[in-house]
Parts: sequence; C-alpha cells; structure tokens
Amino acid sequence: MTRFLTKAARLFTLVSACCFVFAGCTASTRNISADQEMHYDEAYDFSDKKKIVDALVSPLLGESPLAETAERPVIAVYGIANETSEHINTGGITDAIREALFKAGKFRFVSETQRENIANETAYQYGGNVAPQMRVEKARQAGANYILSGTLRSIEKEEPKQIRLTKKSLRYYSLNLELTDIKSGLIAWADSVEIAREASKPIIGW
Amino acid sequence: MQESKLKTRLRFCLALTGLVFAFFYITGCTSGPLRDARKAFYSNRPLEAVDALAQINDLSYRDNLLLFMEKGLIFHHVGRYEDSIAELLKASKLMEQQEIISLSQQTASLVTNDWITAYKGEYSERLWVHTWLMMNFLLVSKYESALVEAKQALKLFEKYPQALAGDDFTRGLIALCYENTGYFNDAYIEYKKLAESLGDSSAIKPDLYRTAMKSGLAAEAGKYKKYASEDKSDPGSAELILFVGMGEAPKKISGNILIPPSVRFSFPQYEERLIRGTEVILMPENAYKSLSPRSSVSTSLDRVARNSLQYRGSQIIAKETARAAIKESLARAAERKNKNTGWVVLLRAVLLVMEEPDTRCWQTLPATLKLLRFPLNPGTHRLKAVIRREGGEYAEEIILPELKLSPGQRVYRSIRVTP
Repeated sequence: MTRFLTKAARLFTLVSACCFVFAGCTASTRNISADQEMHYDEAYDFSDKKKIVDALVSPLLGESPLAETAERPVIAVYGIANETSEHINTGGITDAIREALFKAGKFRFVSETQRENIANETAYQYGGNVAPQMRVEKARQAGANYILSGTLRSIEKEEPKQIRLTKKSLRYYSLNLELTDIKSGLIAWADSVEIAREASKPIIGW
Repeated sequence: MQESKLKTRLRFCLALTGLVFAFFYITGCTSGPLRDARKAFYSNRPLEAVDALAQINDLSYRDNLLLFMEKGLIFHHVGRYEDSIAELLKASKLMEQQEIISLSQQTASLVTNDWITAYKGEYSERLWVHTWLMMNFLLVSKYESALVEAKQALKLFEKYPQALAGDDFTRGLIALCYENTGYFNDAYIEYKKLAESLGDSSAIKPDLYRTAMKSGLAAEAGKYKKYASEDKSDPGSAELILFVGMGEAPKKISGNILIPPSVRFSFPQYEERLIRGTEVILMPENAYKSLSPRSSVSTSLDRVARNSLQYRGSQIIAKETARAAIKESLARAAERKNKNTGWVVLLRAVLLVMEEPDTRCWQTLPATLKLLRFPLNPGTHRLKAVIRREGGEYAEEIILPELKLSPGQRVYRSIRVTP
C-alpha cells in the first residue's frame, strides 16, 4: 500500500510539473481598450502617445490666439524630431495631432507629404491623356500660414552598479510643439508636455 | 543487496550518458548551420552565405544573438541594408533582454560549461551591433535613426570605457551622426574625444574647426584654424564617406591549464596571428590619379576585441574556479559512494572533457575598419577603390556604383576587402 502511495505521489508530481510547464507556455491574446493606460517598462508606448496628443491639442484649440480667428488658418505639419535614444516613430504623434485639430474644424491643413504626388498627378493630367475640362487648374493651391513642428527629447538614468536583485531606471520624456508664423517668422504659440517614469527590472530571472 | 548495487550503477551510467550527450549536443550541433554561411562568406561567395542563413528557420536560443549578428553583417556586405537593419535591431533587442541573468542557465553551466548559456556577445561585439546599425542607417539616409544608434553606442562607451578604448572608428561615426543631424556642439565634443584617443589628431582637426565654428565656439575654433586652412577642398564641394572593412576578425580558441589528476581550467582566448597592412586608394575609374581623403580614422577590431575579452578576464577566472571546485566535489562524492574505481575514473574523464571554453564569437567581422572622407566636386563620378597589400602588392579593385552629387551633398558607401 505504501509503495502504491509513493508511486502515485511521484506520478502526481510529474503530471503537475508537466501541467505547469505546458500551461506556462500556452500563447494567449486579449483585446484591451486603447484608452487604457498600460506600461510594461519605462519606455515610450502607445499610452504615452495618447497622453502627449491630448495634452497638446487641448491648449492649441483652447488657448492659442489662432483658435479664435475668423478665417481658419492653414497649417503645414512638419515632423517631430526624435532626439531620444530610442527608435520612436514620431510620425504617429504628428498624424494624431493633425487628426485631432482637423476634427475640431478650426484649422485647415496642406498636405506637405503629398506634394510630390500632387506634382506627378498634375503633370500626368497635362500630359495629354486627360480631357482639358477635367484637368485641375494649376497655381491654385492653398499656401500655409503656419508651420507646426516639435521635438521629442528624453533623459535616462540607471541606478549605479551595486549588489541588488532589481535595477531601477528613470526615464523622462518631453515633447515641445510650436506654431511658426511663416510670414513673420515669429513663434505664434508653443507648449510642452512631460512624462517621467520609474521602472524596476529584476537582475536575476529563471 | 546485489539488486541495489545494480540500480546505483545503472543510475550512475545513465547520468554519465546524459552528461556526455548534453556535451556533444551543446558544443557540436548548435553552431553547425552558421558554419556554412561563414565559410561561404570568407570564400567570396556572399550570396551563398545569404542562402545558407535563409535556410536556418529555428536555431537554439543559445545562438540566436550570433545568428542575428552574422545575418546583419552578411546582408550589409551584399548591400541589403534594410534587411541588415532588421537583423541587427533584433540583436540589439535581444542584448537588452539578456541583461537579466538566467539562474537556470548559470547553474547548469557550473556543472557543464558555458556553451549551455545563451551567447551574450563580448562588450566589443555589442558595441559593433550599434556601429553597423549606424552605418546602415547612414547608407539608407535615415540620419535620425543613425543618431539613435549613436546614442546607444555612447551608452556602451560610458559603461565599459576600458574594454572599448581604441574604437576610434565608432567614435568618428558617432560624431558624424551628430554632425549630419545638425547637432554641431555634440559632434564637436565627440571629435574632441576622438582627438584624445588618436593622440595625433591632425587628421581630424578640420572636423574640429568646422564643428567648433558651427557651435559658436570661436575661441576653441581658433586652436584648429591653422590646420583647417590646409584643407584645400571647396566649401561648396560634395563629400563621399567610405566605410572600408578589411580582413577577417580574430577567432576565439581554447586555452587550458591542467592540474593533475583531473582538474582542467579552460578559458577562451583570441588566436594569435599576423595581420598584413592593407591600403585603400580611391581613384576615378578611367584614370590613375588617386584622390586624397580629407580625414581618415581607423580601428583595429582585432585589438579592441582582445581588450574587451581581457577586461572580462576576472569574471571568467571566477566562474572557472567555481566550476572546477564543483566538478571536483562531484568527483569526490562519487568516489566516496562508488567503490568501483573504473566508474569514477570515467566520471572524472567526462568532467574533464566537458570543461570546454565558450569560443563562440561574431566571425564575419573584419579585422580593421576605416572611415575615409573624400571631398568631391558636384557632378557625376565613376570611382574605383584599389586595394594594395603591404609592400605595394596589388590585391583587388572594387568599382563603386556611379555617384551623382549636388553641391554640399554627403553620400555614404561601404566596401569590404576580404582576405
């Protein structure tokens, strides 16, 4: 009887170990809300992008002198320079800011990224294949009044070398955004948003 | 009683077989798929090397970093810069994840050897992942991304200053990345560090002057004005920046110290070899007049790799001592429990043979890297690089793709001179 119990206990342990191993390795997915703030580490992520865009669009719509002008100003959105030490696609930030401002209906935008395509398409239309009455009129494009540009910066700091089980690191991001009046060259509006985060990583793992 | 003895022997035999199997599995098979690619690469058959690498679908986690590094470099060599970026970014990400010390791997390595652990790369190799990423990003005109890699490389320089001292090429490249994106003050700081490292900094004094002036540091610029005036190139001229990789990286071999009866200390070391000097001369394709570089910075990867391994020496010795002590304790425990000396001798022999140093390394690296800056007039250029060995012996000619330069334009090209 004792022998049987010992064997059963061994079998149980083996089966339990197998369950842990295989259950641990099973892939799983779940949908989460894009509004939910989630961070796996201290690095820039989609929650930060959302926070940055929300924090900068509201003052631009509410406080900037341009928001109250009778005629909707035309803006050319230039890229946000990435001065961090991470490969961050800042195009996502500019696209989101442009979209939020566009939806507010207070500004108009020229598409600086499509200029080459517009020129190609216009050249094609005047190349002889398109009916004259269907061709777009040349020299009728809107000119921008303002340039929207910005810079994303980061400062990183890690705990110095010492005996411990976890390593803490600090990361600070700042994004400044500004509107430049093309006619006068003056900065018509500027604002910034900051994010600082501390993360702790284990030094030893299984 | 007889049955119990038989069982003990059987267990012992099984454990021994397991150890032997593990040893052969770990050291023999894992690097096999990479071997063909490396062999093809050094036989001047880079496309075959690419094919060989493409066939590797799944490699052990232990050699993943090596796979990404070798793939990245071979793709760079055949001009597939975007593919090279993708592989080297994987390597960079993996290096970050590997900062966590794996308890299971380290424990297992104490009774077997370091081949059982995931390869983390020498400090120098980790730096060169960022060096090649910088070159790739510059070659595909992604200057902001090149600057991101420059900052990653700077972090490693700060973390391991002694191990990485002397890598002037990477330092020059970092300065170039800052200069390219208009951060002249940062570029000036990096050129100054480079000047300190070079000792004789006359080759980069025009760079120091230019970046000091653009940073508004007139007093600093004054120190280099005399040297800058020797730069006869037209201020509106274009520039070709040529990255040249020459020769073959050193390979790690096994070093051994034997203490009778069966204690073996083994450690990795780079093979000793003679590196022949090589000269790169750039000239128009249909003329014999060589072009003079405005500045030239080079790094002996061979020397930096050795320094880097030497810097890690104390870690290797500490681990090696711990492993030798554990293996000796295991052998003595077996001696006490097992009266059959034949089995114990066999165990000692297995432990001795298993004591193999981890000689994995990034093998497709060149022995030397050169950064040459040539001022060129705007217009179309058809150029060739003539390679001469020490003593003026002609080695080979590499025709560069046609260059169409506009005033002030800076273009990048990369060539590799294999041995």
